[in-house]
Amino acid sequence: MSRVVCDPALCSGCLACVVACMDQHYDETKADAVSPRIYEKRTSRKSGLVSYITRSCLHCADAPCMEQCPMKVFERTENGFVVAFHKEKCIGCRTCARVCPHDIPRYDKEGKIVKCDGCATQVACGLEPACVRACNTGALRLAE
Amino acid sequence: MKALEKEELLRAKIPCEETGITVKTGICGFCGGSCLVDAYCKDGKVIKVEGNKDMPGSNGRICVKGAALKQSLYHPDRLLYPMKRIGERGEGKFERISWDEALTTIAEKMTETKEKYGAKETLIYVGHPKWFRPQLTELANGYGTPNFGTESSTCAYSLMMACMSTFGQEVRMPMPDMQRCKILVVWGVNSLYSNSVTAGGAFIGAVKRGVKLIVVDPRCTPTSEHADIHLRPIPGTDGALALGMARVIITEGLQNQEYIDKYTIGFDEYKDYVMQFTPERVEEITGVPKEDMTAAARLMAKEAPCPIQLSASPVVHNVNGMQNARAIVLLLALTGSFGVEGGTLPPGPGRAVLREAFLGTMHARVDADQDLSHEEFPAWARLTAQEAQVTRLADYMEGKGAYPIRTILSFGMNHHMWPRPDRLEEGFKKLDFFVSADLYMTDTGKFADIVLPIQTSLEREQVAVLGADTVYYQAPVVEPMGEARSDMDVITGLAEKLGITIGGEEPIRCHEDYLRKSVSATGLTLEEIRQAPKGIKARKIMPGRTSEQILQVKTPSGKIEFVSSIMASCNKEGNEALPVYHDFREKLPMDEYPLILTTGSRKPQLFHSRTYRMPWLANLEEYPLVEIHPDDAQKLGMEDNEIVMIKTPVGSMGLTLSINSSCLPGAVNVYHGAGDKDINLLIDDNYLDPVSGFPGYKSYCCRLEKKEVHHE
Repeated sequence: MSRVVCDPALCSGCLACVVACMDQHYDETKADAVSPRIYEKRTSRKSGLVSYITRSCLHCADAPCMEQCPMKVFERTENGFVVAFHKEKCIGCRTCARVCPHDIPRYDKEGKIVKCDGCATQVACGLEPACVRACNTGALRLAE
Repeated sequence: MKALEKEELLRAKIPCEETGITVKTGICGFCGGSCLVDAYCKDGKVIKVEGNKDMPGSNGRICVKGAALKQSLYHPDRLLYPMKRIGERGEGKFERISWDEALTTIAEKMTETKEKYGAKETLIYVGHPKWFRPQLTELANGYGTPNFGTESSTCAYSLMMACMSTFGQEVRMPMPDMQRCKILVVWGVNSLYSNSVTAGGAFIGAVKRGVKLIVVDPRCTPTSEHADIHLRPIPGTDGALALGMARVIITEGLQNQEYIDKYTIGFDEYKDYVMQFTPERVEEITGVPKEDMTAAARLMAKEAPCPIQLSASPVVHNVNGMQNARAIVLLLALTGSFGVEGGTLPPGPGRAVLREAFLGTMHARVDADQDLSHEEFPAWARLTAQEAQVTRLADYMEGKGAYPIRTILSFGMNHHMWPRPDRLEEGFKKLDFFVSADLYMTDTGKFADIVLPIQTSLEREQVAVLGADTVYYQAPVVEPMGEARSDMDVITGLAEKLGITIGGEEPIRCHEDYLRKSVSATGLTLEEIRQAPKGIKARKIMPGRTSEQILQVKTPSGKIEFVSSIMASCNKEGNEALPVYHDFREKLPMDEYPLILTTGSRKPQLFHSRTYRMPWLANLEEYPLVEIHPDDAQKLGMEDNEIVMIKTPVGSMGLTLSINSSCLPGAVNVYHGAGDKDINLLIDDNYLDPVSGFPGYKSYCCRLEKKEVHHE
């Protein structure tokens, strides 16, 4: 099992990881591309600062999305990432969204699954996932 | 299996022989930070961009804007050919012409203006790009107009004027000694959002080193989260805050008297002036609790040397901005922090420099005393002799200056950056002739008679000095789009048509000539640099300077000036020799418009109007936003995401409300540059700093009203 984790104390909310994720996964003409990396507002209790924090798929050991998808869209890679390898089969039934304990699945405008693939191929080649490579403050890292 | 594997490698954009994907070093020209980037290329096209890990002084990452670089490079609005206007001005109807026709027509029209009215009725203008300004000044000189102006009329020059009048002409902005300082004041800067790859990395480094941190910013930012003391002045009251801090330091005897006696002039007069800024009065003006202000002043003085990190615009976008900036930088003199180790502009090793580069080579203008701004802004004229202050361009086009502007030759011009862009549009319609050289068909370009397509930084050969002495080379990463040319080739091509020589005895006739001449200062040849894709050490570097040398400042008195002799020589209202504080609210109808309007601050994904063009950046959030504190929202009975009317003395528009506790209560924040919801339409173009001519973007006035109540 592999995943990208975010240290909330270091994350500045600059969103470089989100756009780097899109740069990795889409070509520039995909204006309305949905980012697999999720960003959400947070408010500091100390100061009131409103900023973003980001997260992505935890690639669970018992991945219910993979187990329960009726179209068998997902597969686990050798290095532990749960990837929507067969996205073309996705019928947009949103079973994965219902069973995901972490609210990860998103859908593009065709209604097909959008989810972090952990940049599994890059990691297999000894490279960093796009989001980790982009992170400006060192908040993101790849964890086992 | 093998085929699938290759498909996987391609999909993941893995650079290797099998995929044919290569990684080329590029110098990003998006925001002016000139960061090195790794451009992943396939079949002559950029398919992905990452940070470059070898770049000196950077964290090796990419910022959010750079990550979307390919949307800027391949944008459908890119200009591909020279075109001439066939519709009405502003309509956007053009037809393709050749480069030769374009340059010939421009030369003819410029010559016509010169012969009929005199060359000075032509304005030569540059927007965001900076690198070719010295050569364009030479073109203006050869042609004969002193009216060479740039976006610096609202960007960094006011802060530079404050620094130059205090520390001498060589000191445009004193940079903090980030590696060695023990305490740091960050005044209106958020490096984690802007310049995050370079300055942001240095800031995180200082924080991890355990530096004591004072942040001055009306708003909460990720930077202020790291602060030991966060002072939140009402926008535009920075001067009073700095003068109040000076009073605390002086009354408690914490100033560096030895440094003051040796290196400065005018201390006694300054001391007398600051005494009126009692903690109670400063709290009343700035809204900063006097205990916090006093604690910050004490900490600064006791832990000095104490550098102050500043940025181009936040303090000086105020009608007392230049004087407020002077009040701030004088704290460096008071605490003995300028020009010393651990302070600002510290002594250090030598640097390599490029010749004929922006800020490296300044060309004096011909007839500078006849430019349109000379009489109105004498301090500007004395301190920034290399260009005219052009904030009043709408007036000049309308004939309200000493003489009219009839023709404009522009590079990267965006009229939305000025207050009342609607007045500029009216002015454009009156022009005899207007040229817009740009990357895109812009709102400004639509008013031009001829538009010229310009290359982005990745399409041209580039050289940069990064770190102290490493010279980097960038071959064109991709072929130019269409017939796009380097700005330099446009300038030299036009110079040829006008019979002007750029570069004097070593003429610059094309982009390559420029590079050759530029790198000669490093002792390297262009050929040597071309063969070193990972950078090459300069053979010649400027010698390092000692504190004593830096402190022999180049002011008229030869001392750091608490009382400015240049300001004293201006003899004009508002141009006091002391850093006098005038409160902007005295000039505004605050009873009718009780909220302070701040525009121009940044989100990480925004850089002026250009980022709104890039869908991945523009789509990250709802725009355009007006942000207010929850307390203000409650008082006004307004809810998040509601469309509200924002009204100022010069106009009104509907914007989406965002309730945000990062805001200072009483201050409204609107992001600038958002296409048809241009907040600058609501800023009075007469609301200017009398010293610098800068608009008061960060502290104007407004009120918010619920939309449904007012049917207009």
